[in-house]
Amino acid sequence: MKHKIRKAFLSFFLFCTIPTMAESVDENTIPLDVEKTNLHFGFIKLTDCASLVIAKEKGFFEAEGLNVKLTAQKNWVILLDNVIKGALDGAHMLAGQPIGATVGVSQKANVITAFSMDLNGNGITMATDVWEQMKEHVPKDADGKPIHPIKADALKPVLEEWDGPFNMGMVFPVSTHNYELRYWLAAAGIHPGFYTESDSKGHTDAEVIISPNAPPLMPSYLNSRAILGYCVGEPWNQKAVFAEKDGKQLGVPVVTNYEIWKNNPEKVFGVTEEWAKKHPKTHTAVLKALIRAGKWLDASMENREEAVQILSRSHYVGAEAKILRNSMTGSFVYERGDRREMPDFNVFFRYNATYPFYSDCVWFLTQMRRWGQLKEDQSDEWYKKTAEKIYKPDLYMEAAKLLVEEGNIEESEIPGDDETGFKPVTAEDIFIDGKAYDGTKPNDYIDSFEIKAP
Amino acid sequence: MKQKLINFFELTGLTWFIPIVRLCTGDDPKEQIGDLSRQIALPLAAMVSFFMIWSYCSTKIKTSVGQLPGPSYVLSQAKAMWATHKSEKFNKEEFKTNEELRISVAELIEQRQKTTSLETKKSLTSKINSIKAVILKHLSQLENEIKVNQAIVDKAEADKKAQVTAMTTQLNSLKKFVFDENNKAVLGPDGKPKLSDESLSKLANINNRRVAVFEGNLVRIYKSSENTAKSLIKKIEKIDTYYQQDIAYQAALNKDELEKKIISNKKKLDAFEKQIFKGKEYNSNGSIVDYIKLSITTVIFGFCLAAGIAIPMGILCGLSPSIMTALNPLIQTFRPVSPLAWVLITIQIIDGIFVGDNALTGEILKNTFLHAGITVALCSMWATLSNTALGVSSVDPDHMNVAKVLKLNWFDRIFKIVIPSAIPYIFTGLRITLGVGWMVLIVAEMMATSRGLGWFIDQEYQNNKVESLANIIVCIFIIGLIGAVLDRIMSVFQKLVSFNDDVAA
Repeated sequence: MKHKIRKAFLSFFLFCTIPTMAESVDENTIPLDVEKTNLHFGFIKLTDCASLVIAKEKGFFEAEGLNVKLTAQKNWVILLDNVIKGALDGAHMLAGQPIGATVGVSQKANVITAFSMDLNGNGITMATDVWEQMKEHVPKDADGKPIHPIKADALKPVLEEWDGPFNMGMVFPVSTHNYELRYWLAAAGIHPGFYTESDSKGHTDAEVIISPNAPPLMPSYLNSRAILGYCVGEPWNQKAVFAEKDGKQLGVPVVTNYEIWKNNPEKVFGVTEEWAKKHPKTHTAVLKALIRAGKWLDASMENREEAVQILSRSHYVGAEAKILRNSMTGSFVYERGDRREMPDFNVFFRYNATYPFYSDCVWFLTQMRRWGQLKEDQSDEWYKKTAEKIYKPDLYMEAAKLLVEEGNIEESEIPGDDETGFKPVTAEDIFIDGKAYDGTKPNDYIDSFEIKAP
Repeated sequence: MKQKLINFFELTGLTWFIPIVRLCTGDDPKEQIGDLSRQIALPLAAMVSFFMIWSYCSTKIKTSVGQLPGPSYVLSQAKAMWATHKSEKFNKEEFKTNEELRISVAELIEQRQKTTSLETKKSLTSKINSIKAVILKHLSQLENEIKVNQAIVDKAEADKKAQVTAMTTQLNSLKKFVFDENNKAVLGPDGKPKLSDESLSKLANINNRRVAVFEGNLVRIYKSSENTAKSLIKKIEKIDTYYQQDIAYQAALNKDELEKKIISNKKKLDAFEKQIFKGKEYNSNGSIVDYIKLSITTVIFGFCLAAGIAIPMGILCGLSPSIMTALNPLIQTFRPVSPLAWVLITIQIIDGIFVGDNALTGEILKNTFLHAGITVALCSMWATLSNTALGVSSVDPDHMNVAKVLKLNWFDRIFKIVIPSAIPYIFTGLRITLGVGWMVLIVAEMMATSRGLGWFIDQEYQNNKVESLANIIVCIFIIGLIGAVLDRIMSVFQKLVSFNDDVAA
């Protein structure tokens, strides 16, 4: 008992300690002749804005001769609005946002991205009573612990006996969370609803009603039973584990998006096409700094710990370090006392995480078509053309090559010249339903789903 | 003199000064002391009991982010905010000096680039290096500053550590955990022993010992100033290295062999020299004082706008019953609309006007300032409008008849008769407008991302920790105090212009 209390005090100390200082790095970097020195970027208070924050705090921007100001934005709509109208030079965006903006699913504008900020990092949390009913249908191992990944098959029988509407929350109509939640449900034959001409909420034919909510409020909505489950990024899944209701944990994260689609793209750094054209050298300099920040974040656990301290400052993510640490340092708690190792839950650089793959962009487009946000069928050629319009791997490579020249990264750390931007066809263990995804054949992929918009 | 002072205090509502003035001028001390104790002791007692209740409740209420902060924790957070403000100010000045130094280096380099005479080049190079010495000297001062502050932090950390250790042993020896009848500790759902209320309140008190954190911030900000200076030195040094290298290459005999090296060296020299020419703006997230300043500016802007629209409209409505009848339905519909609804639509309208082909792009501050200011005006102008209309329509008909007899023209009638007699009503309206405006402003700032107090509260709310709850409470006190002061100021004006007491609310 004594040592448990000591431990509690110790962890208390850890989050009180003073964050280590920003330092200016490097001898080799040769700054570009940038068009604009003073830049203003926006971000949302989530752990995956880390690359931007680290590039500023560890002096990577400074080394490129950039003077960057970072401002937390209130929500994704305001953030994108500010980028479009030019109040912000660029921002931390949901992967679906530049795509949605370009094809006109949300605000219409030409937003591009040449940098993917991270992989994975989301989870789906269910209310504890729903989970207890689901648990009966989940296969268990010898110790009686449920075997992960948990499929929505376990939810289906619960849903059949459920009295009244079954509401769930996600973050934003074009966010990864929306598509992941729908994918997970539909993989078990549960209908998550379509978007149609007359139904912009996406509730047509829905067995589970999915609506957007603000991430920090999800646990309280779960508490008031306005929703029975949600899909968000960290720290809001872990929050449900540590919050309490009727002597039990408030909610149980049942599955992470790493289990739904291994190493899926989550956030990107987006700028408007106009801005990128007007400031090509500045854009390259920003990309250089961001790539180095990503590399720094994945270099070691000590760096991650330092990143946790920096992110916990109130002008950045601002949450307590112990909560941030939970998901940033390679483990995940499903139920209390069931902490599992998940070293790839947050990936910032490994597996070419920062490279903008066309196939990732096409996947989002296929999901927009699948759920009816895109109303009409398009040719495979259209998908490729659209992806080329939004994702800019050539800009990324330009910056990366300069870094290789300077000796700041190794050549082996970036894709080679033969990279087409399309990842190979996915193997069976990549998606939770074992489907093969080939980014060059989006129409075949959409047709392979049973549940899809007409 | 005495009467003047008393009148002044009565006017400003600072009535508890009056007995002091009377006492000083030799009025009956007994009566005055009784008065004084009533005026000061009663509010003081109320305040003390408020803080006691708050303090007690804070140990009992557990929010989803942790223990509700008590008064002492909130006070320590207020101190922290003030300390951050001071260090921000310091940082800004450091940044300015740094920029000045950069500009002088840039000028020297520009001259060096232009001149062809070797002698001048030499003297300019030594001048550039002498600036480096200036920065270095400055840096050593900064380092001293950091040492002093680091010592404070270390001491506070050590103190805190000692206190927590003491607390832990005390708690352990008290064994105030909850035991069941078999003398087994009752475990909470997380597997940790449940603590009794007493232990919990003691643990909550430890929160108050987190003061050292903000002193840590102070050191961090000093260090960031240090970094800016250091990076400037680094740039100067790099330029110097590449420059010297360039001279050496130029003097070398085997130039052809060195060609590649010369080009790459020139390129580097060029890149760093260009860096020195580029100006930087000070960017920071600001401190509480900046937020307060912006909030007050916004509310005054909104208030003036509201008055500018509402008073002329009110006069028109008051003078002509037909205009009043025409506008009344609109006024009645828009008056009760919440600021939350207004702000979203004003954001879009303002953006529509100012962003686009003739955009004020990049000026996020200006735009968001307008969003918040116009929302304040829209929501708060109705009180002034209806009060002005009422005041104008209730102008004594005799006065209007006199105006007719004197054949005053329309302007004279308004400025000489209507406005003077309606002015008490107008000011009552303005006072309400300012009060409503201040309340609306905080909401508008939360929505419009104008970086005032409301924005700060919203940011802190999103941070989701005990510290931010304390910061929000600090802001609530600040908002309350500023609101009270604004109201006092308006009431002084109102009293000054009113002829009789029954108009003044």
